[in-house]
Amino acid sequence: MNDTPEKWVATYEATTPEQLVDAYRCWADEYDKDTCQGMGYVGPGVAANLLDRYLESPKSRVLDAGCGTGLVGQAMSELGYSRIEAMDFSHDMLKVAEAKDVYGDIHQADMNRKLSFDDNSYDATICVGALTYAHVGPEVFDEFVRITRPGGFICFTVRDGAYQEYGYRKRMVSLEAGNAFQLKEMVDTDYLRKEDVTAKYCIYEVMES
Amino acid sequence: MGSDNKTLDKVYTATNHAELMDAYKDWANDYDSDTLGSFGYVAPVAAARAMERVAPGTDVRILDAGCGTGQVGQILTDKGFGDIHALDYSEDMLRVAESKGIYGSLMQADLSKELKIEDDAYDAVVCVGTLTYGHVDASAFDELIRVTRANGHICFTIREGAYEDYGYRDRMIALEKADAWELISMEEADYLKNENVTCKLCTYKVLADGAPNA
Repeated sequence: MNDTPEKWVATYEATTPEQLVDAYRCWADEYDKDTCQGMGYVGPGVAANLLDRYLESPKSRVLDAGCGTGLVGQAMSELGYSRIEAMDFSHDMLKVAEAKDVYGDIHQADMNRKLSFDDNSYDATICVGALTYAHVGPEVFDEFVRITRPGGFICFTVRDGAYQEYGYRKRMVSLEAGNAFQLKEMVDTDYLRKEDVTAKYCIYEVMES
Repeated sequence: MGSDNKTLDKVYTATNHAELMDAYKDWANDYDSDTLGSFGYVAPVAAARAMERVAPGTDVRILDAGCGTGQVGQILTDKGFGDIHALDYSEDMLRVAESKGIYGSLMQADLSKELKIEDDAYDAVVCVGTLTYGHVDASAFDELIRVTRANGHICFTIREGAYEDYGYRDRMIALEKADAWELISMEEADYLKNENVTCKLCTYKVLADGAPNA
């Protein structure tokens, strides 16, 4: 990834939440241009299409967890979804997301902690580009399962490497073995198209507890 | 499933191997035209594509487990793979497979039992249309892992419904939890396209230090 902007690298190399917030503060305004045009970032659209194949209604209540600048919300909105909520740790990214005018409620929250949402609040949770080094730990899956209703879906991307090394795989397998959720599909496909980088796209159905 | 598909009904409702072999004996000669024609059996194409995605080259040694008449072997051959070995329980199906002239060797064996194949004998295993009602139970995974070398791949289809009802899902997860293999991809794919039946198309990588007897 020779052309990867320094601002992107900074988000991977952050060692504290403060550094991560700083990294995104410096990048918020240029993020969409740098990722979509610069690197061929197709993750949001691919994930939105995957989730759309499973949801029954465009009225489904969807949480965009780690929404960043709102690229996923925009993709879902273009597919006809009108009840999307945004959540991110970075105020600066949330400001850009809000300006896209595709979200209902906007929440600032740290996904490494317990979320303030009630159990079974959402029909679906979508999380694109946030499950990676230095961002969010694998315990977040437990929270996604809790806030998504049984029969609802959790759709996310995870980069190969981080998938195995960062404990995501272990947690996913363990939650599936415990029948918390059931894998519907896992595909490895284009993520940063211009950089020839792929990611795993996963969709799980939440089971009755 | 159309009720006029008597042959297919017979295959799915077999309660023992004698009945299943009987069903395939009656069907062997018409199998390719029936499945490719009226049922729209597209799983072999999707599985061969999945194998092509993960195989490091076309010289990999592949076991076609439950080869039937050799449809997957034919597609893999067309893609340039040249070291494919056939295994099936039905002598009649194997005869049709052999006539295609694409397999390095053919073996009659029961996937529900221990295979007379050495550990790590293959770089990859493909198993299409075999993990389904009335055929092979979930313990077959343990043997497929055993005969595949570490970091080799296993691609297979499981007919929808059978995935959960027949114990496949539980065994797949248990084997992953034991680090016997790692899931690379799981897709919903058409199975019998003209009958609107889908399957799970799965690709696993066999891990080095797994414990298959979990």
